[in-house]
Formats: sequence, structure tokens, C-alpha cells
Amino acid sequence: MSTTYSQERKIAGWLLSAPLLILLAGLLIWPMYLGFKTSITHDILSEFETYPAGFENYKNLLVEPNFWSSIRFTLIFALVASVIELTLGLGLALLFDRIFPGKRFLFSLMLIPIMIAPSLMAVMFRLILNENIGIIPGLLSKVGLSYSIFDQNNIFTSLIILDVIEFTAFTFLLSYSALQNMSSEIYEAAAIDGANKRQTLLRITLPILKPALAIVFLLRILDSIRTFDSIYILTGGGPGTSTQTVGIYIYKTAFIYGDFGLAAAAAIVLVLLLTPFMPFIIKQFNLGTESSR
Amino acid sequence: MRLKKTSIALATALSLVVGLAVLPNANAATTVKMVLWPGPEGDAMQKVVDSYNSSQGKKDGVTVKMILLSRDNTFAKEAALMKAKSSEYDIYFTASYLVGQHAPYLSDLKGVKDSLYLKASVNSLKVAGKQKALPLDTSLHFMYYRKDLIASLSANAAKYTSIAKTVLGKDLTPNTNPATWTWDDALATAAFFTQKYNPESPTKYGYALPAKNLLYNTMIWNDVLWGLGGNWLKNGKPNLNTPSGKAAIDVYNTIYTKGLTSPESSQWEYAETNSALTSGNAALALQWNAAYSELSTTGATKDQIGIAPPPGKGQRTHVHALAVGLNKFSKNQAASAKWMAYLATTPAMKTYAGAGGVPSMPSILKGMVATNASFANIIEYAGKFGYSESAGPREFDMYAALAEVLSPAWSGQKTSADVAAAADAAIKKLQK
Amino acid sequence: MKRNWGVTAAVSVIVFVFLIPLTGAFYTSLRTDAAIASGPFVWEFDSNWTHYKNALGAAGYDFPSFFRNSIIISLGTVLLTILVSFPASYAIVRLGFGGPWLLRLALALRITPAIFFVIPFYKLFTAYGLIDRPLGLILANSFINMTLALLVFAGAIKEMPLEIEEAAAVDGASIWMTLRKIVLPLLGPGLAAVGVLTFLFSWSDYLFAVVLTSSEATPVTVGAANFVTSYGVRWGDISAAVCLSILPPLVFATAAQKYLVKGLSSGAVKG
Repeated sequence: MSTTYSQERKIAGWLLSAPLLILLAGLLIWPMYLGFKTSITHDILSEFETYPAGFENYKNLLVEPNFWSSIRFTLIFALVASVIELTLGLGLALLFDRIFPGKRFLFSLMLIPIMIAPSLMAVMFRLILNENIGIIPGLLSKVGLSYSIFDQNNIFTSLIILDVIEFTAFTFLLSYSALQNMSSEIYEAAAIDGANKRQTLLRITLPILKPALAIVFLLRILDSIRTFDSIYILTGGGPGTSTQTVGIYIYKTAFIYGDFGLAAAAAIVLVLLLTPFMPFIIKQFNLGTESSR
Repeated sequence: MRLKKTSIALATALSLVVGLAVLPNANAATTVKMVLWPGPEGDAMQKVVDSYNSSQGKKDGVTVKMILLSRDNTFAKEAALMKAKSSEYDIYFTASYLVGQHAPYLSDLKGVKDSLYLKASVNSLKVAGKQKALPLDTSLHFMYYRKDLIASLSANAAKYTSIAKTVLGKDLTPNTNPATWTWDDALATAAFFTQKYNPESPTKYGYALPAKNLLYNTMIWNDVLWGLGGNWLKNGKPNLNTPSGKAAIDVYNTIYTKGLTSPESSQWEYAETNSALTSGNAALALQWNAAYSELSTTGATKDQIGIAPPPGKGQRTHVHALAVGLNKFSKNQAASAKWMAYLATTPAMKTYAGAGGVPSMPSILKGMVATNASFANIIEYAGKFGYSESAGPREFDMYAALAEVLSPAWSGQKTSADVAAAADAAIKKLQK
Repeated sequence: MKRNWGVTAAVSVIVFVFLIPLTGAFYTSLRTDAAIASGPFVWEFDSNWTHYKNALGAAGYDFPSFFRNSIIISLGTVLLTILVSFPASYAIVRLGFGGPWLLRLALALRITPAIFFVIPFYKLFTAYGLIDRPLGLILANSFINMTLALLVFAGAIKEMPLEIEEAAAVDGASIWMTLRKIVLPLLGPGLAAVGVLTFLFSWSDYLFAVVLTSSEATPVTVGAANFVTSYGVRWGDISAAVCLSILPPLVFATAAQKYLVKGLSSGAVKG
């Protein structure tokens, strides 16, 4: 009896995962192999012939200061932006978690920033932040403020604000959906115990939401590590390489410098650098499987 | 059993339909697919394509289909396609500064009549003596200035001299003929029209500096370098860590650090530079010839925009041609060649010019000066001042690398002494 | 019932801040080119709706088909992503399938810059005739959005009380029945959130679309980028295109909200 049950579970596991496995086999394994092969090849656009280069690209990458500085910038940027976005998104979700007039309409409006492609959003930012024809500098100067949005001292703050405007909708939507899974009994029990609103939030809501929020935070961090469009379009990574994310580094290496081998190596090194944290993250966030309980 | 029969019937029907769809129609014209980027070039080319498809194309048995990709993505996508040895498109979009990188993937073109074209343009598309692409638009730079403002200089000579002394530490008098400007003249004029130094100036800043880390901005800065007698290379060796190289970096550095341009200009490119002029916030800018039509018709620069060659002792302007080349892996070599042959004719380029293009054929440009006054300047400047670096297959990469290395100095974060050696190193790294 | 107009006011202000880019785009889309170039407060509006006409095809670009492609691609991606990730998350969490390896793989996938996949995908899709086909983009987008779906589903399934499923198993329900009749309904808000996000992310995908389409399957993001021309940006036209491009996803998000709010009405708030 128990063998057939565990067998049934095993078969079901395979069947249920089959679509995922097929997609992964088709779109991950082979491209990964191809990517790895490119990374150990001397493969430059301006040279027609490609030839095996061993680990030459990796060696060059390890001593490339721009690569490492871009990783540092990316990590700082991703961390700061994600923390702000998670906090704002959660706060907004809590604010939305009640009935008020116009809720549905405002909810949809709040999601608009992710409906616009980051590359187009960046063009819109170029427009509204343009010192000469943009409405933001125009309004600022009307109220007597002179603030240089793209000045070197302000650029980091500006880019963070733009990222927050663009992606808080994401953390908001997921936090809100997590809140919907809270049962009313918990709140009622808390109310009976005489907990005030603040206590309920800190002692009950947040601890219950923690695993879900951890997932949201994790996804946001991972996404900010690989996105590049907005910053690339606004600053090109400059002045110099001061705002260059690792995504911009890889994009430029492949498509401007035409060095596909080096770009592939950079992508692989990036993944390898971050993969050791994966088991740790999965464990922290309690995402393991039943059997590990 | 019945199911089996039905499925056999279905399969047969299906394969018939698929077969019919796949079988080439013997009478059908060959379709040639061509990549171009959107904007004036794409719009103008559509007219040429339409006219070809409805006339000469019928005789040739060729139909041309144009695919537009956005600016940055055009070259990125082409890079991916070329590396994959794709035959998806028959004709690639390329340019003087890219043809070195693209050359291994392009067929040689035969029968291009050099004499029809601006010499600088047609020659910039040759690699190792072989014509690799057909020139379309010629692009170069103008020193744009507000005529109304420059005219007011002579009445304020004393003030001009005193501002020049304060800002640049030099004794200068107004030069109201921008065609003869040195960079000192340009900087002093820019300072004169900066409100920080001259509260009565109608413009907030004298200059609009495109200083973003962008390879097209390196092309503009090159004019400064050449105008001061510099060059990327000397006898094949990097040559920017030299007095002329540093002086050229210092021109940009001075404009930025002295506040002659907006602090925001560290992230400016073409569009922002134009808006600084049209909004009436800046008086001068070194900018692409393509800006003329907007500048001459819009905002504060309407009817007030003047054109001069880039300043310098030996005035020089970057010049390049946008172009189309034939994909070496195209399966329609013969048909593509027929279309290219048509594109190389004067009537085709006349259609192109009529629809807003700036073809590299002087005879056509001359005939159209009435519609766009800047065409006369293009012919004149390309011949007299036109110049380009010939830095080999990785020239495109060098433009990008220099933008990366120099932009901190352009925008005052670093000095010319900090970056000049790194600029040489960047070029050396990309030399073969 | 008490009407919380105070909350409405507070939320409106916050939402407005997040909508500043769109407001700017809308304002720009109504103005003439000359006014746009002259300064932010030159009040000269275009009575001919030129920018909207251009964004709907007058500029020579086939926007109706761009919109159609975007809708097909986004809906297809939502379906495929859920179809692939939902059963697999159940297998991972409840049946212990694949250990934590599948999740780890999915996470690694999410950090890998999309550029890494661009050239291999191009080669692969060319070989199978998927270039410039909506199906190709559906596959690529599902692949990218899978991590999000897997993590959200896995997290939600884990939070579900195991007792209900166990009771169902004791009653003789098969795994399939449990999945369909018990887990799926309980997953409501998570499912809706994943659906909306997948739709929006596919709608705003750009990089894959640039490389994997050329004309037949071009989505609206790539179409709108046509207004970023060789030199300048056609500010008015691209603003109008952006404003129009958010309408379909706005409708979708509003429709899907019902399922998100369901949890609320049946749970926390009881009127």
C-alpha cells in the first residue's frame, strides 16, 4: 500500500513537472551549453573567424576593473532600490487593504508603471526631466528650486527614485496578494486579546507575511541585478563608468565592442558569483520542500 | 479504425496545404529584405522602395521589403544576426564608422560609380580597397549659432573682453564671423552669453555640450581634437596623451567646469542639445547637420540659426555616410544586387532626397539648396573640412571606449591629465 | 457603511506621484511639436491629434498589428506560464519532486542577464521556424517569467494548511482532484497576481522582441521605439504611443483584480 502510494507520488511528480522540465530542457540547457561554448571562444564581431581560446576570456575578465566596479555598483543599487521598493510597496498594500471609494480604479492606475517597457519609460524620463523642455525642471524652477537631476552628485539618488517609481508597483501587487491570504480569524483573535493596530501589524501581520515578503524582495533584487535599459538609456553608464551596471557592461561588451566571448564569460561569472548564495537564500526563506521539514 | 482513416485523411490534407504554402510560385518576384533605422532615413527610403516596387522592380522580378529597427537596436540586432551567419535579411544597414566591423559579413559591391558621390562619403565605405557598402546620407557637424546674438557682440566689445579675461584669462576681442573662430573665440562668446558672467544675456548658458558617455558624442569631440591639430593616432600609435590631445579635452572641460553649459549636460546627447537651443537657453552648439531643419523652424532659433564650420586653426569636421551593404549569407545575391544597382542611380537618390533624405550625391544636393539651405554647407564642408579617423576594424569600439574614458573629463569630474593616458591605453587595447 | 474618503485622498496623492511620467507623456502628446521644443509651459495644443494619428499608423508604422501581437503574446505567456509553473510548484513543494534543485535553477535563471540567451535563442528559433512568430516570444517570455510564478506558487502552496489536502487524500481523492478542487481555488490571489504580473512583464518586454521579431510579430514596445529616430526623439509621437499602449494592459489588470479582491471579501473584511 505504502509503496504504491509513494510510487504514485513519484509518477505524479514527474507528470506535474513535465511541462516545466520540457521548457527548461529546450530553452535552458542548450542555450546554456552554447553560452558556455562562446565564453571559451575568441569570438569578436570584427573578426570573421572564431577559435577556441581556453579560459582567456575569463582571465581577461578577472583583471578588468570595469567589470568589478560594475558589479559593485549593481549590488549597491539593487539593494538600496529593493529595500525602498519593498517598504513602499508593503505600506501601500496595507493602505489598500481596506474598503474605500475608488479602490478598484486606483489599484489599476497604481500598476501602470510596469505596463510601460523600461526602455520606453526611460525615454519618458528623458523627456519630463529634460532641463529645457521637461515639466519637472520647469515646475521646480517655477517654485524657485534649482536642482540638477543629472548632476554627478545627484545622479545616484535620481536613478534610485526613477527605479522606485517604476517598480514599486511590482512589490505592491505581490504584497497585496499576500495580504489577501491572511484569515480574518487572526485579526479577530488579536482584537479580542486587546492588541492595538500597531501591535497587530508588528506582532502578527508582518511575521505571517515574512515568507511572502522575502520572496518579493528576492525577486526584486534578482531583477534589479539584470536590468539595464533605464540606466543605459539615461546615462549610458556614465560619466565614465560611474553608473554602469553589470547589465550595461555585458550589453556594451557584446553589442558595442562586439566581443561575444567576453560578454558570455561575464554573464557566467555573474551567475557563478551569486549562485553560492542560492541554497542559503532558499533555506532562509523557507522555500525548501516538504521532505526537508 | 475509423479514427485512423480520418487522421490519415487529415494528415494528407494538412501536408497538401503546407506543401502549397511552401512551394515557391514560379512567377512570384524574389523578395529582398532590407534593414534600416526609423526616422528621416527610413521614411525617405520607403518612398524609394515603393517607387522601385511599382516600376523597375517589376522588370527585375524583385520586390523589396524594408524592416525598421530602432536606433541602438539596429546595430545590436545586426551584430547578433551576423554572428549567427543569418540569411534572414539580404541587405544590412551600416555606416562609415561600422563598416570595418561589418566588412567580414558583407559582399563586395561592384560597379559603384565613385564620381557620383561626395568623395569623403564613398571612400569611407571602402575596406582594403573594396567597396563594401553604398552611401545613403552624409552626416557631418556644423557650429550652430544664434545670428541675432552674434550680431550684438560688436556693440559690447569692452564687456566681452573683460568677461573673456575673467573666465579664460586671455585678452580677446569679439569675432562676429563664426566661420573664422578659434576655440578661444567660441569659448569667449559662450562665456559672454552665460548669465553667470553676463546677467543681461538672453540665454542662460552660452553653450550646449553633449557630454554623455555615448560614442556619437566622441565623433563631435573629434572636431575639437582635429581643430587643435590633434589626432587619435600618429604613425599608427595612440596619440591622445599629447599637448594637442589634452588641449582638446580641456576645451570641453572648461566649458563644463566654468559653467558655460548646464550642469545637466553631462547626460546630454543630440535631443537635449537641440532642445537647449530651441528653448532659447543656449546660444551655441557643435551639432549634427540633421538638426538644421528643426532648428531653423522651431522656437527661439527659428530664422535665427547660423551655420559655420567647427572652430579651430585647421578647421575639420567629422564626416560619415550611412549606408547599405549586401549580406554575404543572403540567398538572394543576384536580386539584391539588382536593387542595389537601382539604389546607386541618380533618379533613385533624387526620390530619396525629395522625401527628406540627404543623399551623398553633390549634384542632387545642389539642386535642392532651395528647400534646405544647409545642403550647400554640406557639399562645401565635406569637401573642404571633411575628415575621418581610419583606425581599422575596431574603430566603432574605439569611439565607445573613448566616450567612456573621456566623459568624466568632459563633465568636469576629472582633468585632462587624469584621462589622457587612459585614452591612449583604450585605443591600444583595441588595435590589432 | 463608513465611507473612507480620507483613504481615497491619501492613496490618490501617492498614486499620482507614481504616475508623473505618464502624466508628462499625456501632456506632451497633446501639444504641438513647436510647443514641445520651445519649453514646458508653452500652451499650444494640437487640435488635430497629430501625435495620436501618427501613433495609430499615420506615421507609416502598422500599429494595429503591433497591438494585436502584444495582446496575443501577453495572453499566451500568461497561459503557458501558469500551465507550466502551477503543477510543477505543487510537485516541488508537496511531492518533494526535484528537491530544492528546481527552485535553485529557477533562481539562477532569473539573475542571468537576458542578453545571455539572446543569441542562442535566435539560433534555436531560426532552426525551428519560430523567428518573427508570436509563439516564439510566448516561449521566451514564459521562460523568463517562470521563476516569478514558481516562487510565488511554491510560497503560497507551502502556506496552505496541509490538513485539508490530507483529509482529501484520506477521502480517496487523487492528487489530480486535490490539485484541481482544493489547491487551485485556495491559490486565488496568488494566481491572479502572477497572471497580472506575467501579462504586464510580457507586455513591456523589449529585448527579446527586438531580436526575435522583425515585422510580422512586432509588439507595441518595439513599434513605439520607432519614434526614437536616428538623431532626435519624436517626443509627441512616442508619448502618444506610450499613452495608447497602456490601455490594453489596464483593461486586463482591472478585469483580473476581481480575483485578487476575492480573498479580501471572503476573508479579512466582512462588510
